[in-house]
Amino acid sequence: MIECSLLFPQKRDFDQYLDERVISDLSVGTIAAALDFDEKIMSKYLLDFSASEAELEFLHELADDFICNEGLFHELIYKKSEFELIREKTNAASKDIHSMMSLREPTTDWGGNYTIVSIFHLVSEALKAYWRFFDDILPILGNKGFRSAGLDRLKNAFFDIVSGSGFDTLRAEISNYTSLTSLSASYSGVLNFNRSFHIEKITYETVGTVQRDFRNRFKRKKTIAVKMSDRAVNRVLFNHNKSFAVKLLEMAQYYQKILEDLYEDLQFYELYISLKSFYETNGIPVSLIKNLSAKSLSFNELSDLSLIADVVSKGKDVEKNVKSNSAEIKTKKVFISGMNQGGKTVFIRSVGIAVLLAKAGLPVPAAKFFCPDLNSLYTFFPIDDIVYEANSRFRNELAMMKKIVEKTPRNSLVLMNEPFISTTEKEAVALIENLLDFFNRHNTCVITVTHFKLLLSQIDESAQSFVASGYPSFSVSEESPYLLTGHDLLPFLE
Amino acid sequence: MINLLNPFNTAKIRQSENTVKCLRLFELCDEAATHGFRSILPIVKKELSELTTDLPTLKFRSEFAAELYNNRDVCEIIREVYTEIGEYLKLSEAYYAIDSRKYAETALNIFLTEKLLKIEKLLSVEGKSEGIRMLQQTFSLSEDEEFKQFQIEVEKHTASIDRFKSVEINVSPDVGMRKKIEITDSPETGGIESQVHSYLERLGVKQTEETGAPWFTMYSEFELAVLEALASKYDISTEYSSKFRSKCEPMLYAVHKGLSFYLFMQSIYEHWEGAGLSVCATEYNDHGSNSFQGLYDSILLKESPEVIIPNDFDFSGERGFVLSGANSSGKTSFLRAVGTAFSLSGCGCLIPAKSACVSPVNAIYTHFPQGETVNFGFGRLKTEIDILQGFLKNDPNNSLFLFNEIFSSTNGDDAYIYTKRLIAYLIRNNAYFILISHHKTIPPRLFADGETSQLAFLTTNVIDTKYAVRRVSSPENYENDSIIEEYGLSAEQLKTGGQEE
Repeated sequence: MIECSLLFPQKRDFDQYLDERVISDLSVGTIAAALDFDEKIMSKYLLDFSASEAELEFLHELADDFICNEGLFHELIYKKSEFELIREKTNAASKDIHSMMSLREPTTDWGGNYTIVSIFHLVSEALKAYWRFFDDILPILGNKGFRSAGLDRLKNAFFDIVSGSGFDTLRAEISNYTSLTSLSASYSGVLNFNRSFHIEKITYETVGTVQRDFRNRFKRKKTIAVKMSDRAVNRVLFNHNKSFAVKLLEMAQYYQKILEDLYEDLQFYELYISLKSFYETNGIPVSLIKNLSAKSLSFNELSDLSLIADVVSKGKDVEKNVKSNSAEIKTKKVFISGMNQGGKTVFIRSVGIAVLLAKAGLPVPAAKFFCPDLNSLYTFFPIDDIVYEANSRFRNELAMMKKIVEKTPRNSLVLMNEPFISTTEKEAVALIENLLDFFNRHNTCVITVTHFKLLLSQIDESAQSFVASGYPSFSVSEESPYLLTGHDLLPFLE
Repeated sequence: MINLLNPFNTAKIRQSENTVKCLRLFELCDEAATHGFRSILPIVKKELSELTTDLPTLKFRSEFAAELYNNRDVCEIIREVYTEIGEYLKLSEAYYAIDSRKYAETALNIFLTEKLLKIEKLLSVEGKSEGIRMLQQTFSLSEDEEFKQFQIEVEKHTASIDRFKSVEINVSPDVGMRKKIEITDSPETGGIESQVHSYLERLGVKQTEETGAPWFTMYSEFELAVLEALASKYDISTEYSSKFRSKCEPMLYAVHKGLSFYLFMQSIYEHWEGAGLSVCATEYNDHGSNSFQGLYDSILLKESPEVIIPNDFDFSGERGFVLSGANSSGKTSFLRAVGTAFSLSGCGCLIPAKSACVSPVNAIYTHFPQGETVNFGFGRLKTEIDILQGFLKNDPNNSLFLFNEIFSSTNGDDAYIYTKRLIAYLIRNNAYFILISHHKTIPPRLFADGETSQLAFLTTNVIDTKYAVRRVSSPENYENDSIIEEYGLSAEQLKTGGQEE
């Protein structure tokens, strides 16, 4: 199999896949919907947290190449539907060949071979279509506009496939084979047979020879002679055809896999490009993260992508409805407080999504975004009560947290949104403090959105406090915890 | 027209989807639905999500349900009636599904006659409830003139059909299922049925599986052609009987629909009973007296009967209750139990309790905590408040509000202010409510305010190792059990957990 991937030429570490909760907590579905991109595929890219700096550099370089040669990129993408048609043909032929393989002999004297000839036709058509396909995309890949090392590797790999020695032989063989129209005319060469009718090789002339020979031996039984000769020749043809058909099919499937991989990888760049143009269309700054050596997480003008996606899908103005934030996370304990509906959740969600995007090698909606090389990201958002079984809400929260603690996250980021509101403040605060110490010992940063005054009033120098100001600025800035109360949100009760 | 579900044709109020979801009302049906009632689930779900405050309707429904539950002999009879009607309706549907068969129609008439007479006989039980009396009245047909006339017609046709036993079927030789069929009189042919069978056998047509139904329910084109030929030869007219049947069938459908609901619910009651739990009929009143003895949350049965703890609860005196207690002490279960009891009694069903006295409410509103990301651009609290505002758009008078962990997404002080205002509003507007708060300080602060004439406090604090909800004169303090330890998240466990950096 071709050793080249457009994502990264190395195998990925599947241990570094994030928990799928991250996707729902951070509302990735909204983003996928706004971009009209398959949520599952998008999640797959985002949950892969294994990227190294080298990989990010590779991805951004390749993406840049595609963006600079947008026309060529789209040519490649548009050809996908053509590839899918060929794939359908290959699959149909594969099905037929498999049912043919179960037959030991042709079903009727010539009928079996006629069937196989028609299957042949299918596979060879598919193969030819693949060749034409390669002929079409090789010039695109080989276009001088492309400069990245990744594409260069891919292009070379593809040239190797197409110019390989087996490739030409097979191509000649198949074009010879399928250019002949009738079965008896399909073969040429020498036919050798012994008394047990073992025929080693079939050629067209000797099909006639065999038949003549039989007829001579059984002069008085001419019909039988013809039948016997037909059967002998037919059986050999059948076996020959079977193995040839399988060979062709294997070749077609090999091409299929290569192109499937190519299009799967290209999807990543489709996402990359549509994200970038989504930012540009909506006036959002873009950051490309190639460097994971930042000491701490910091950002300028970072926006919440899922909020942007929601605003855009509702046809509202992004500039008016989405506010960006700047912050530097210097400590391992970060608290976000502020008035209700002030933008706390939006803040931590924006951080979560940005980290996901950065680690996936996708553009981040920020003017600047510096990210350390985190091992993992965990989210702990309140869950819907209705989904609970007989367990209490608090038990569910504990069970969720247990899952995180059991993984002993090191050098990671944990985002907690109003944790443990299902128990009393005193108990919740004690629990949160213990958890923060635990995570701190493992060099893991925790950003906690909370209303617990008891917790907020105990913040010392080892922690940072951010406050969401709410209407009209909705900005989140580093200041002493918000401890005010008394906003009237219930005017309808008057 | 008989209507066992809404006998007096009173208006019903549809419960909100959120209430049905929070109370997990439809989950009650799961167990019963697996016992062959799947097809009537939509009827049941519709009935369960409609409330009425009409006392005669509620009494009618509840008495009938109670009679079925308390007197299993009667219940068995009703089940049999239901099956008989079902069998007829099934056949009748099959009959309408085919095009032309006068012979079949006559057989259907015979079937209907038999079923009606059988049902009338079955219903000759001594029934106490109005429902049974209504059924008896509907099915007292033997003295009915129309029915008598119908019987005469049917007998007439049956006699013609008897002649079918001595006919011969001749099929034109060039075969095919659409061939012309001629009928001739012939005394020794063994009847049509056997001729059709043997003819089909010769053609290699396999018979459909044995259904126990008369042979004319096999709908091959050949059979239909035979029936057609028979009908035209013997000139069978079924005009009168068709009229009677088309009058009778809507009634049978209505009874069948009504009984399907009662019997479905009966299987739910029996499921509760089988787990050793009590089931009771509600005593209705219209003066706001609500009390329950041995009330339990039947959803917990999904887990195990052992986790169910019945509670006594009396609404009289106050309209509002603030419930507090330790984690996992059964607060949500209690809330759900109350909601379910009001819901079920609001549609005339039996309820999971030992005894109950209910004054039907106009509506039930439930507010259980919402997850994140439900409502973009609005905080969790705003979403919560929007829901609340939605509730209060309607007149809260005589409605029941169940709030679980309300305002938990804001700080304790704000939550207290909001809760206080909400309570005052509900009391002012004559609503009933139970409110669970996780902010430990809220109940004592509400109590300290002193405006508690319509407000009572409940706790789930443990007495005698049992979690039961009880009334307290002032909010009790409570400590949570160390369930944190169970999940390995106590201070000690976290200190030793994981490897130190």
